[in-house]
Amino acid sequence: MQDANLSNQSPFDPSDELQLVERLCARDQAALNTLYERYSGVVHAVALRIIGQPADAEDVVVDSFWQVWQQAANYDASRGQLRSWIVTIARSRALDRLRVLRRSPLAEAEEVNVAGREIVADDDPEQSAWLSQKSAIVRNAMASLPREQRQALELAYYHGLSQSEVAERLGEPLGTIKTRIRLGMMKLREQLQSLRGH
Amino acid sequence: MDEGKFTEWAALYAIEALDGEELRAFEQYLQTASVEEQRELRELMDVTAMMPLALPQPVVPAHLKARLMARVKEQLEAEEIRPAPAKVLEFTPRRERFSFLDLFNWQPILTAATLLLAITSGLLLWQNRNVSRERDQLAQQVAELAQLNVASQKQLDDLVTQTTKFVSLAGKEAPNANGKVFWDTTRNEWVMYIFNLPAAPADKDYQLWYITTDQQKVSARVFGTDAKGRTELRIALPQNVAPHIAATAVTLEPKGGSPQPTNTRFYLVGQVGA
Repeated sequence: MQDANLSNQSPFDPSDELQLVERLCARDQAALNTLYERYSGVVHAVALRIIGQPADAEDVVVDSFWQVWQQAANYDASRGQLRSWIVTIARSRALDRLRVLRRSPLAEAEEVNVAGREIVADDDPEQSAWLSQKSAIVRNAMASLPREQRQALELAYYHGLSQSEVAERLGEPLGTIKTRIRLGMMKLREQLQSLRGH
Repeated sequence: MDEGKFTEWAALYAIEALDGEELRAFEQYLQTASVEEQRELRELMDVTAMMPLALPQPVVPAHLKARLMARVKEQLEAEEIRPAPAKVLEFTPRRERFSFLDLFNWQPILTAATLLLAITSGLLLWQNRNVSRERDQLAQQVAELAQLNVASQKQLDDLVTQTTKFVSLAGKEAPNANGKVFWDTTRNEWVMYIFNLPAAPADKDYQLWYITTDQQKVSARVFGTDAKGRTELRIALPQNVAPHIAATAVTLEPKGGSPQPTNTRFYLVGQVGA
């Protein structure tokens, strides 16, 4: 488990992100460029994980940041972090694309590759280092979950399945799936406590 | 809703796995959720949003940012070219300086002027037609007068020739009356014009007499006058009388005339050859 003091090292000051949003609303292309450099890696990862096809995932990346550019005024800081808002947009766009393509990757065969590559997309060394550390913390947290809990969470998040659909997919009682998801979320919250707010 | 139920539903809701009646019930409950419950839900949603950080993240292709920025640039250029549809500028005529002409509403004035012009044009056209009609009538009258003038000139030429004698008549019985006799000695014709004779009584007529050099009185003509006492007489002189005429006179005689004058009250009298 990584050191929980990472919160003090975050290069992403919330006030700075609010200014970025305001600049987006003012049609500042430089602000969009900054956000892209900061979050395009995770957006691309989500899209590729959900869709499974590089070309379609790339379209989702462009479409997601285009939506951020167009709807920056809709961002409500009181409802979550800017990163959460952008990732939510990317996930929704990817799931929409997936429904269109009707070629979902096999849920049961896909699991997060916790040994995968770390974030290397940013040119800012400080930012890259921070993201790498944060990514490692999340990977470790996910890896610490029991397989059944992690699988239920991933089917819900990356495949857009409801609790009933997860239960049907896994052949488990609905109550069991509810419990797995609840326990998994509680454990993640506990382990990622140091990262929240950044 | 107890804490355990809320936490379970919040976890499922945060990862968008809650469905059916539970989803509707939870969303309804959120409208009255406590601050602490809302904070718990927000934490769970942040946890969900962090899950992708665990994913292997390959290098993002560089051309994606180029595609994005090209789309943005295209939009911004379009916005610069295309005028904002919501902004409708109200046109206000620029006024260099105040003019009394600005005090008038020209629309009704121009309309009235146009109507007046149309009416005037109609009147002028109507008058032009009348004038043309009158012009034609005048031209006809001029032609008639010209013909009359020719006739009058001929008459005047007939009256006033080297062989014409002129006799002027007047009388004591009618001081305002007078007469003119143009005697064509070549043809022995008199053209006589009489003016202002009093109206003859109903039982009387005026009668013109030749008075010869030997004081014989020969009747020339019985005549009447118009309301103004006027008349024109054309008389062919008797061949046996014409060379002896010394004077001419008008008397008032019984109705139809008399072979000889019945009185010596001359209304008109003139000496011939005087």
